[in-house]
Amino acid sequence: MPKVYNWQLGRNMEYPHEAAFPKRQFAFVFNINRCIACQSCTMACKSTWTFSKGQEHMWWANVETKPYGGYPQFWDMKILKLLEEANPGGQVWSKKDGTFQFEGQTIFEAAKKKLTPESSRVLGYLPEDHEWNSPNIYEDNPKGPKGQPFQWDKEGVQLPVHKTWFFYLARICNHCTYPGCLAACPRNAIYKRPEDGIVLVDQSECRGYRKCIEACPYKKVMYRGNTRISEKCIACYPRVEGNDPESNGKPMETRCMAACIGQIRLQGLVKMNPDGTWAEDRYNPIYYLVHVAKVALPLYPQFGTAPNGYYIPPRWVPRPYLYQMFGPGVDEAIERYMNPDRELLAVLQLFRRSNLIIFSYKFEEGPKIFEGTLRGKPVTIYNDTVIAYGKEGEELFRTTVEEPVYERPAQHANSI
Amino acid sequence: MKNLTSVDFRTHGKSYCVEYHLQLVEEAVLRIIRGHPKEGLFRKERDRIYEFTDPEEREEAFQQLHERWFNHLNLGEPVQQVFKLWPILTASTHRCLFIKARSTREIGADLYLARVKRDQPELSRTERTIVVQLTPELLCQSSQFLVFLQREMLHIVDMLDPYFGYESGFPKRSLGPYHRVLQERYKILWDITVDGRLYKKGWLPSSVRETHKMLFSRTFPSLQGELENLFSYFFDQGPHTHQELLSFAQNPEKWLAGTTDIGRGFKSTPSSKGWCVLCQFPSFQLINPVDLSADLLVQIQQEHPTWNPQEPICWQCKDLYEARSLIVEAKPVKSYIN
Ligand code: SF4
Ligand code: SF4
Ligand code: SF4
Repeated sequence: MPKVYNWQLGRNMEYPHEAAFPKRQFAFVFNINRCIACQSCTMACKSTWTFSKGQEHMWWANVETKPYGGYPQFWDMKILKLLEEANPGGQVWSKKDGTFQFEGQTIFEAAKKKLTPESSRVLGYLPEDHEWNSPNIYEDNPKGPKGQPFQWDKEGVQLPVHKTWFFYLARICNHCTYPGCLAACPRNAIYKRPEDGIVLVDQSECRGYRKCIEACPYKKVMYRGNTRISEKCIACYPRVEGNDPESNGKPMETRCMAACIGQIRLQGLVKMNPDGTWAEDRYNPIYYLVHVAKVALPLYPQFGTAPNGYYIPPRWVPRPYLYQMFGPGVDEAIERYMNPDRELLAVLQLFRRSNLIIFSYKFEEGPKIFEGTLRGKPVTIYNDTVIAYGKEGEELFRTTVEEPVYERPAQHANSI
Repeated sequence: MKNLTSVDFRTHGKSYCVEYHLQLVEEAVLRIIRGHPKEGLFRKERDRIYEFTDPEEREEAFQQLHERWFNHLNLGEPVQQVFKLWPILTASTHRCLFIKARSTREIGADLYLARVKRDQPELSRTERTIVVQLTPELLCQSSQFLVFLQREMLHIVDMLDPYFGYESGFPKRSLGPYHRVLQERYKILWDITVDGRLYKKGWLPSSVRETHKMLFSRTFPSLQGELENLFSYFFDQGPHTHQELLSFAQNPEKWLAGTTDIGRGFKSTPSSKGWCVLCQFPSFQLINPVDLSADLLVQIQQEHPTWNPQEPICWQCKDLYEARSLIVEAKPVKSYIN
């Protein structure tokens, strides 16, 4: 099996397909501390791309309540279990000279040991129909322990500490650097676009083998029963290309990003090195959040597909759960998010101020506006400015840390 | 476009029709073919159909292919086995339909009757159809599918067997919330008698006995002292009848008192002093409606026109109606809208 470098794992890994790296890569950061599960993103995608016959069960964008929810049901628990069975006790990270390295096995490496079925190149499973049918089932319903009817869990709501926790995980296809779906397709019907790394299913080549559905660890490829062809998130490529009538020729963020009520989403196109790592681009906001501030982490990096969706982890969730979901960078990410420096606080203001893709930003210092303590630590806030630039270096907008306040003249009070 | 594929076969000289939902057939074939030695051959045939440009021709070709492979892979074999086990199934019904369950909750079998009139006494074979809802995944796992079919079809056998005397619907007095409790109790008892018979034939593992016993004790907590005897009566002995299961589910203590062998020496804690005619639940605290206010009596009668105020009601229902009248009387403490 060819070897590739996976920077998220801190090591080389085996990938059962030739890797090809785009010039730029579609990537996004979701700040899930702010998601309110309004499902506007879900509906924006549905109403644009999956409203036709045969697509009823398809939600390319979905938001699930963790830890109970999942679409398809239990997708992450199932794949984590398969990996654990293939490599019992071995799915761990080590730290050498201050950098983390994944010592366990990815879905590609574990496939050699545990093939399901034998023709598979990637460890995975094919969800059953009913697992796709009720995207948010059980998320608001209390349920007892498995196999013990008429009993509730007694641990969750004990006083004095309210132990119950949950958070909303918004998901789309990660347009992975090493896509499991692409590697698994026996007909090479899945490809990664050289210009933006968007992963697409060639609808004229697909013959509905569903190996991609089995192999995608995030379960983001779906089968359409009436056409007998697999479909997936297309990263709203007409918008990203600037070819959508609405975009006036300028690269625009996707429908699910633009619709986000909680303003948790920022999407961009990062520059790539020929080896599949990100080229240094210090003032690209996505690059900054992932590689400089290190507040945004990949979803289940241990799967090995090098997903290009990054998450600012929810700060209230027990750490072991977060380590499993986002890898070992969680403590540092949460610490920095809770005590942001001036630049990070300014960059966080870029989220959803515009629907155009931001290619770079500039940070300008402003006056001190607050001094005090926060959670026992001294804190000083400056009204700094952040300026967003587009593809050609043109200014898209500028915004400040302090939200501007506009007072309506008194004569309009209580008027509609 | 058709929805079903039929497999006709003759049994005891009569023709019997087994039909499968095509979606079920297709999905089952697609699942079982993964990693199968003949997958290459199947794919070759199936890939070719994608080239068809006429949508109807294409759809038909897909359907025919999946039907053909369904038979080739012998996926209907457990069904044939079960029909051979209980000839009453094919002797008393004319058709068995397998359809795809949309969720795991829907999985199961039922008997459908084409009754012309509600009180029509005799039904012929052609007026009875078995409908089985299942997932393609279950259909693919032949051993689990066989156990599932044995369980479900033994229920159908009971429904067809005159000795069992199955009747749909429960007595009138069990309407309302109590109906659900009764349904649940009846279901648990019936399942116990079915699995007991399958266990005796060696088709189920011994763990099934413990699982049912646990459910039985949770469902009938007042019988703790006689639990083992009673459980064994339903699980190990038989045959039982619909009426017997129903009267036990309705009132186990009364049932015991009237059963000579098992009831002898049985000391139970009574589970009620009687029934509330409004909510249909058994209760220890029954109230004589004579003590209720005239307003309350009117209110109850409005919602239960057939209720006779001589009949006792439970404390909970009285509380409920009293609370309702308080809500009606309540006025906002302060109005915030000027
Ligand atoms: S998330 Fe799944 S579908 Fe999307 S590129 Fe990665 S492996 Fe493929
Ligand atoms: S990027 Fe576009 S296609 Fe993909 S999930 Fe979002 S809205 Fe849907
Ligand atoms: S639109 Fe934004 S806030 Fe709403 S559910 Fe989606 S990600 Fe969360």
